[in-house]
Amino acid sequence: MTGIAEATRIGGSVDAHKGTGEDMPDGRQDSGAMSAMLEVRDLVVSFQGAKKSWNNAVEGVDFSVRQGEILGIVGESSCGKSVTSFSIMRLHNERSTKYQGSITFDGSDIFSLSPKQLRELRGGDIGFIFQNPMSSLNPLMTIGQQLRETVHAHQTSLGKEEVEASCIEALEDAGSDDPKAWMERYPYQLSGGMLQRVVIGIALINHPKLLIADEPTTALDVTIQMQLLKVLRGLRDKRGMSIILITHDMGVVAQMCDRVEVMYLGQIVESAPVDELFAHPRHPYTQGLLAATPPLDGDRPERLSTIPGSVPQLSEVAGSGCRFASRCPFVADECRKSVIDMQSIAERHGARCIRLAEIGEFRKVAS
Amino acid sequence: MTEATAVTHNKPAKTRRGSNSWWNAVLSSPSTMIGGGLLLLIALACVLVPWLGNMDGYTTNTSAMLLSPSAGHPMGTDNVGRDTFTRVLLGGKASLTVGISVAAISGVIGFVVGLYAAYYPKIGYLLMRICDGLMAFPAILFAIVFIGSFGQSTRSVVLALSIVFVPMVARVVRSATMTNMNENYVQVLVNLGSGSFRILWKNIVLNVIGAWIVEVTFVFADAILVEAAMSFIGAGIPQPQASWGNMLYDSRTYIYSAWWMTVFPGVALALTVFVINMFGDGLREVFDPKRRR
Amino acid sequence: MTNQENPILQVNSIYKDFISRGLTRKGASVFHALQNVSFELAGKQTYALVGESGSGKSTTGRIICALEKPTTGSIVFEGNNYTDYSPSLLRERIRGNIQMVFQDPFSALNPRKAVGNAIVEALEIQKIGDSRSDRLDMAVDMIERVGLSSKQIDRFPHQFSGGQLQRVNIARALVVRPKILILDESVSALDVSVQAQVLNLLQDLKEEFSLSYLFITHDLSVVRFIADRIGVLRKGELVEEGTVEQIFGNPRTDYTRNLLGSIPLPDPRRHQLMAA
Repeated sequence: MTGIAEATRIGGSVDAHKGTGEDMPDGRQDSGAMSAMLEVRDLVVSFQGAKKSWNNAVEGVDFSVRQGEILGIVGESSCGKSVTSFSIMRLHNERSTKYQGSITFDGSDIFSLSPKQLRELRGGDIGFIFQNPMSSLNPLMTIGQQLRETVHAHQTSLGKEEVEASCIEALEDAGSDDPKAWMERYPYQLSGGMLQRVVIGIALINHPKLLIADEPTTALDVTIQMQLLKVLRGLRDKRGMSIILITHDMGVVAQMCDRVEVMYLGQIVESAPVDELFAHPRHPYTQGLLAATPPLDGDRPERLSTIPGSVPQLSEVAGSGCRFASRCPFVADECRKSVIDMQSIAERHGARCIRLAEIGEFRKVAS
Repeated sequence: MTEATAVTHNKPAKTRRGSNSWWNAVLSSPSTMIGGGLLLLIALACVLVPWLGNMDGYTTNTSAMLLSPSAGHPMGTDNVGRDTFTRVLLGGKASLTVGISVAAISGVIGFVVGLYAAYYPKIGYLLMRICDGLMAFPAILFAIVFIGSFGQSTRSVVLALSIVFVPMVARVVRSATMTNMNENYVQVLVNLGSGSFRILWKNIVLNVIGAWIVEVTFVFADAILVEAAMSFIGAGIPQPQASWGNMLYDSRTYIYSAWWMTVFPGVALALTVFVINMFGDGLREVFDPKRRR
Repeated sequence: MTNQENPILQVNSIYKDFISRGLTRKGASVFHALQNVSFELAGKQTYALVGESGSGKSTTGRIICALEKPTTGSIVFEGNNYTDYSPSLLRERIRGNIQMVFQDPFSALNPRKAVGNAIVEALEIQKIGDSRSDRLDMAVDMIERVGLSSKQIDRFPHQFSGGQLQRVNIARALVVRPKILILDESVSALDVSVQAQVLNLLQDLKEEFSLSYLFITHDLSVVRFIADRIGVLRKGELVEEGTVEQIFGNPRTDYTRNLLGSIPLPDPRRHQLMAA
């Protein structure tokens, strides 16, 4: 990893970032790594509910991705991780969605882009991979047709052979062993793992700077998952691409990511480099999540440690202090009084909890 | 909109989908409420107004032929001097009677046929081929043949149309049932040792009835249209009984001289069908399976 | 290998072929879903059937539940071979004893039926209890036993979360007092924190109701926690079988080794993704 960390946002100092990325050479991890490829600042996404009420799905989300970095966004269902990732490309229905805050990608403000510029960005500089590969492919077109279409949508000047070559290259990079044969086939003729490679290939074809992968391996068998994770990791190493990996699987996070944002009910509750997070998880939710995973080695426990209760409705807890209070074993009166901000723990490590000191003590006593 | 109304509107949205939540959903669906309300209004007008007003739509009066609309005859009179307003209302009564009867008969038969056709694939295959056969004939042709052999009366019209519409209802019920058969809850019931009666009539029915009601509403509207077409060509409700279809038939030679004879029954027919379809579309939204989760 | 105390369930070399017929002879094809699968489930034991998608593990579960018949082979429950039982005989002797909990908790419940009624219905079908109020009492007891509140009994499935619904499904399966509970990916769709709760609940219920579990899953970390014995299925064949210690400590086939090596470890210091 490169030495200097970005200006830490945890203390609240947000260094305005102006597009220095433009004149950077293609090589990665030069001094330009100081600035972020993607910066999400204080993002609030709200959806229109019944009778013109607006409900916040995501609140105060704040993170950045540097060039060549794999950022993990982890959390359980309905924590807002997909909402966040969709917002980066403004994929939500614009009529019933309100965004606040800012998202800056490679120097340009996503929220001020025209529809045309957005289209250029999607599938161009930002690639997207969804959980279910079958639903993101057209069942009536061959793989080749769909790949070529993506190329044509963004690079109109290429000749036929160049298009063909870049299709084959993209599929190879996505881990296809026989790209030419794959391109002749229709989606139903390929297995789930092959299809997800095709989807990765389509995402790669215009050489994106950032790849957003939303639960890319959840629907696949573990052996296939491992192969695809290797492909994604290899892409980062080979192309210097940044990746945002959205997952619920702590194992995938541990193996893949450089940094991790843990989300709970629309907020980031803990943010840390991956080693730090697994070695010293500080937020009670992160601790609970790690402890609830059945261990793969060591003693077989009689019982698993659990997080009590279930995820409440966002409307039940919004605006009343810590959102995790109803399930937290360390909850105190002060937790419910006011909105909890991110607390700085170490450089680049923060947690949205005001009882970090006490919890640390408690854990020492318990163990 | 004030805050108070916004709050009260939020509540049914939250509790929607339960058993009596259908009713809540109906209440919060404007097209269902407006469509249903207007339909009720039309039906009441057609049944009650001629009866309360002791109106006569049959006595011919050669001294009052082809009168244009006036205070005494708000819709004018026809070529034999009958009051068009009265006949439009009586025609509505006939049309709605045919529509409701057809919807009820084909609805019930179609429901049972569709349900069992889905549950027993082999019988279902046979039944569906019969339905395909029935659907291959244009509804109106089939009805004419039927009336030709059994005589022209309102009852024949109803029976003919019921047979024509059974396959449409059966199809919808069958496909809704088949979707439910693939749900695991049916497997769970089988695994608990449940017989077919309980599975079909105490479980699947609850999930099929919504789609069925919607389809029956559309059959209602269709039946009124086909009845009008049949009456127009003289194969429907027998004269001198009024029906929108045979009124339009009577009017065709006077279309330039007595526009009211064409316009009023025509508008009544179009309006009624429109209102029923609006009601049906509202119901379709209410029962939308996408809301189930 | 079979010197466990007398098994409650024996699966004897079952085969299952799926035949798809075409219009012509050429169009027909046979898919061998299961080939010569045999194993035994000892009383009060948890047997885990693991495998990837298409390995035939769910088909095995459905055959044991008598929702499907095997092409050849036999299934024996407490000494009775019920493979060729008639529907009424199955209902009388087998249905109540072998229950199944499915992967998708939503699809396994009738969306238009209150969960209390779904549990009461299970009792009605099995002719347990004398009156409706009697059955309602049993339903309430069971709902509370699985960690839900009796107040929730009148609610409809959409008013619950996935984890809560899976508890309802478990309650409905257990209220008829089965001896074997088949769990077909029953915790796979749940969030980790909820999954841990349900797994703990299953462990408790196993003791309390003297249950034997057949756990069908692809998730090896769950298997390691809950199972006593493991069978590894691959393309319809049982490639390896043994205790948890044997399978995890000393896998004999490459397939099992590969399967075990593919689970991402929640520990960033142990790199598994070296070469692409």
